[in-house]
Amino acid sequence: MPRSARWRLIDAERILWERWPDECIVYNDLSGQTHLLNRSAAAALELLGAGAESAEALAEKLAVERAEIERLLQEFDQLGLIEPDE
Amino acid sequence: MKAQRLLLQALRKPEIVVGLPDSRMEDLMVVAERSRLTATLGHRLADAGILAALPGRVRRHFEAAMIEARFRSRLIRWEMNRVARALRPLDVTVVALKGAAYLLLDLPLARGRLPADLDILVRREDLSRVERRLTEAGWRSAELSEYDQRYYRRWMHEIPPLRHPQRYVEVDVHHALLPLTARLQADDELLWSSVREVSCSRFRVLAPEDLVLHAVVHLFHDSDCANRLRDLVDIDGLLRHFSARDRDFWHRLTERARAHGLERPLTYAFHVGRRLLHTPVPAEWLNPGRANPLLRRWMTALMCRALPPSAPDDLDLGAAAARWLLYLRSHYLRMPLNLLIPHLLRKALAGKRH
Amino acid sequence: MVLGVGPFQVRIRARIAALTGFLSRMYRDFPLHPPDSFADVRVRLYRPRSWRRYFQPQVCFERDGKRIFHPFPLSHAPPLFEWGLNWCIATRAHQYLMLHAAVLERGGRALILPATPGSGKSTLCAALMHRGWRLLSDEFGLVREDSRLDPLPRPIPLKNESIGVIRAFAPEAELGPEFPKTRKGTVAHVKPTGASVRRMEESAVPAWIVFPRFQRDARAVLEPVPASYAFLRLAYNAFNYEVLGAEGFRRVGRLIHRCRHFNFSYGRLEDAVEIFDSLASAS
Repeated sequence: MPRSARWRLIDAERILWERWPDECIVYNDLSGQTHLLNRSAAAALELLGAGAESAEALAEKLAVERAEIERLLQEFDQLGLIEPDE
Repeated sequence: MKAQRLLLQALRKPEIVVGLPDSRMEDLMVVAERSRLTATLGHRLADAGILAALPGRVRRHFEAAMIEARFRSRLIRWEMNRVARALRPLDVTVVALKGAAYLLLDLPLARGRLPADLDILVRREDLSRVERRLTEAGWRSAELSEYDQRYYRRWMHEIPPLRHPQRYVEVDVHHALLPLTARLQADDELLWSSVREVSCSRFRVLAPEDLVLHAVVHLFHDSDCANRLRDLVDIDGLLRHFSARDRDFWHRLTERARAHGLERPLTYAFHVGRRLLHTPVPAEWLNPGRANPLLRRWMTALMCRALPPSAPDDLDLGAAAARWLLYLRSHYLRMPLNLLIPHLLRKALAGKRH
Repeated sequence: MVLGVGPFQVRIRARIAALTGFLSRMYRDFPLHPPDSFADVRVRLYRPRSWRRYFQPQVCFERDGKRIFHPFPLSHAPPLFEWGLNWCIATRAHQYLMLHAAVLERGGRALILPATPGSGKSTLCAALMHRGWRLLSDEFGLVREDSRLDPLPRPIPLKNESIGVIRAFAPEAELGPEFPKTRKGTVAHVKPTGASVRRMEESAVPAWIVFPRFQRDARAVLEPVPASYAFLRLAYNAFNYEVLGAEGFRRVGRLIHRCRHFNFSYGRLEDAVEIFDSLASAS
């Protein structure tokens, strides 16, 4: 699993959102895949869309455990939603 | 025979499609479909500003084909993205070939193509590292007998095709442009020395001359020549694109063909392209190979017969068609089920653990 | 001949008595176009030349001169035609988002019943069609860019015990011949009602998405489901959601916003009819 200090959303134009109060569905035009996100996953992805973030900073901003964020980032990376900020 | 001529005419001059009587239009759709050129023709009609003027029924056909072509391109781009991600830790040069390269370079001919595989080229010494990394990241080689495995590794210019079990695009990792057994051989050092970078991509592409020569070799080398008009359309598109941007292109292409020892196939491609698609090859560059004129004429005639698709009524269902149909069928009928569900429901990012 | 079926014109070439009989009966009310019209789908059914021809005759299905599927026994030419035509549409008509669903209409509003194994979709669809609903399609929800649904009425294939169920439920239903021992067991087709065919060019506005589940003897329960759930199930169930990409996402999204969505479990067709009637009569 590639490690990276900071991550960012891939090209924001490629991501489409459908939002409801408790969850949202995103479409990634890069992969052609559709994903269901809960509220905190959606919040994390939105933050990454606003600018590159480290796991640490994300955990702090979202008040979620670091391990949880790491897992989320790993999954986002696997789905091609984010990329390392180099 | 007539329908094939109609397709060639439409490719050369899309305007002729306007006002075709219904039955002729249908003939055209059938041969275009059989040659996998419907979407390409659709884009040409759109560029010429006449797609909107066609009857709704006909227009929708082209548009549907263009949607499918975009989908195929998306699959290829995504596979490239995944390969790039898997190879992040490796310091190797990876060259995207054929359809993937056309997409990266955003060439006009990329629109409407229906790429099925992702072809990449790596140096022979990097091959095992690349293969190992891709396997670690989940790609699996297609089921092959031990004999086939050995055959591939020993003689072919690629390792057995790899596929990620969650996706449908095959990745062909090449270490040369032609099989070791081939009589024609490109000069690999020359090839590598002129590989180009592409902005915002991990992949590189061949130099324009090599792109053309690779397409030419591909067309003339593969054993199955029937229904390969598609490949000639690629070559025609490449030649038009690069010659319009570089006055010296014909000269450099010819020189390059000589350096690789590929003058002869290039000569045939020029002649066949000029005859069937009116590829604008200037007369002074038409014969880089100095092939025996008789042989050249014979080859040209042969290719002109073999390349266009046969009309449905005198068809001979070849293995390629069967393969293609199988691919299509698995794609449409299975993919939505297999691909979506794991990501949509099971692997939902929802932290349902809480 | 060129047959008009919903938005498509289908050129059929076949000299197979069983198929001709089936077509002239099940597609009796459908328009026939002149042979030189433009056809969207071009199919041919023919008997392959082989030694089997004489004691185990077969039939093949071809589109644009390319054979699709393995040969069927000759007597199954009609189900092969129906199945093949579905395949032709599902693999090409990407101007539509193609839901795998039955669609019925009442008062201009469409009820979408996505197909899932065990949903009893075809039986339910045939039942509703004989109780005042207009059949748009038993198999394809053809969603246009403007979210309206285009009809594609075709014979509804019933399987095994459903055949008897519909004969009993709607004695007026016109059923075609039974085809025993197909891949899906015994199959018989219900002819679309006259109104469904006559109004085959009238689109409908999507109003309800209902995921049916048949459970023997169960009480009928209609339960609202969250939009996200309906979204994913609908997308997952479409033939070409992936092919359409972003446009598919947008079309599913618009459908979800325009419709009410439910899970529906039922054990008796009468209950189902009653519940859908009350849905339709509520504003």
